[in-house]
Amino acid sequence: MDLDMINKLLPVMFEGLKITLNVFWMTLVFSIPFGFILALLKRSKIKAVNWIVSTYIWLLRGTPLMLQLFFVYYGLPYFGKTFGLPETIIFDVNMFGINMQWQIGTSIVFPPFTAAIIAFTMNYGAYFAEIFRAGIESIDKGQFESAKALGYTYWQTMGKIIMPQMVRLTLPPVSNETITLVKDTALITAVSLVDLMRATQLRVADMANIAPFGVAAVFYLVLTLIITIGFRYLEKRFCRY
Amino acid sequence: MLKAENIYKKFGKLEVLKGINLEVKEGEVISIIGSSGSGKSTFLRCLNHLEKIDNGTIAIEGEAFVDNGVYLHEKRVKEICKRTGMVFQSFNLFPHLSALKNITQPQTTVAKIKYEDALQTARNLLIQVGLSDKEDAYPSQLSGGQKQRVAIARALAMKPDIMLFDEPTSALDPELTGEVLKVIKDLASQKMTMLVVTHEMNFAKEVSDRVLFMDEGVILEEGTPGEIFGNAKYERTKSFINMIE
Repeated sequence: MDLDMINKLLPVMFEGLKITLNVFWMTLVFSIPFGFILALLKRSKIKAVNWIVSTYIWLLRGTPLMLQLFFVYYGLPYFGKTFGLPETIIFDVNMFGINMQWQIGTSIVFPPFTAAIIAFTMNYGAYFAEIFRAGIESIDKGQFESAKALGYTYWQTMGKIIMPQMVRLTLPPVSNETITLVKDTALITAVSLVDLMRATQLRVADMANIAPFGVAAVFYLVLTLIITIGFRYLEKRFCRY
Repeated sequence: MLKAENIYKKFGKLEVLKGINLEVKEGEVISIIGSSGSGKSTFLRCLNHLEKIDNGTIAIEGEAFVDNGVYLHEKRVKEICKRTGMVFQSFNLFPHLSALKNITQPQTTVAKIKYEDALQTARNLLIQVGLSDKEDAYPSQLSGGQKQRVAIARALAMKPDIMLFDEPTSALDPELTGEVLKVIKDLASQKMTMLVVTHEMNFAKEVSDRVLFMDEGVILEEGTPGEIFGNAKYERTKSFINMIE
């Protein structure tokens, strides 16, 4: 590999890396709070809520992420058609003498990047939900009791007593999930996004050279290394007590 | 100060409390003794709504939060129960907070007290329980006796009208019980109203104004320490005391 090749290779790969990183951080930012809310809902005393969330988690963890991605990107545009609905449904509502009209499209089309973020967030939210639920449930019951005896409300208990302890307990599995996510982003090639993986593959074909695969591997390795170091730092910070 | 009438409580099919009556006057120290499974801890936990009762009335400072088995609105129940402070057998300190923060956080979070004032209260209480040098220690760095003393300080910081102690020394090594009992004795001498579930017979003898002996979900016998320990009416009470002493 000479300098000329590297010059041709790297800019394209960095372009792809940008997409990869965007999917990565946006998924994390959305799926972690989403997962936490799901975890709280799954602990709900209302049976129906509990059942709905459990089913959701079962579906999202039980089917391939690729299927979910295809469903959102290639499937939803035919949503209405599948059920024999017209392209747009118009609701005419007359309330208090005011005529209101809503239109709902039955053909739901997302651009590829948005579709990827939706599918990844829904999927990773389910995994994070289980991690957080297990974390909350492994906290001693006495913590809830003493908070209650001191007069903490539900949200004060969650925010000031349970969450800080949960974060510490769930850092290792969250770190695991995060590393998996870096590599799962490669799936977005399937909805015609040119991420690091796709850019690499294109270069290999273009240059008739295997080297870009090696370079891509190094990119992914560096990313996971940074994440590993980051989480190790967090674990140290939270393990002071 | 505190009044419990006709308290009934079941866990599934098991009846644990079968009609308990108790009135606690201001400044009174009451010890509850009895074998495990007699319902004494459950009774204590009903008084601050950690457990729900099936029937009966509980009033604190003349205000009933449950009347003939009907609870007030959850928010109101919480308000009334805030007048009690509780100390647990297993301490239940918050492990992610230092000793000092364990005492300041409930004040600022629940009672909305200014941090500077909360800090002052916390420091005074740590002096009172003899742990002013442990401000920054996390619970994991403290011995059992020290943890329990911080837990007592934490409960006191909320300025309760009555303190509930649920076997405060049962999880401690024998040589550590003394330091915790001393703190509770000091509180008794300051006329703090207290209900103490305990297996420490000497402590019950020395400190309490009244001793209750619970057996199978009822208060079988009650009286002054002299009456209960020296001259119990029931065979069941006598055999329990003989067995422990």
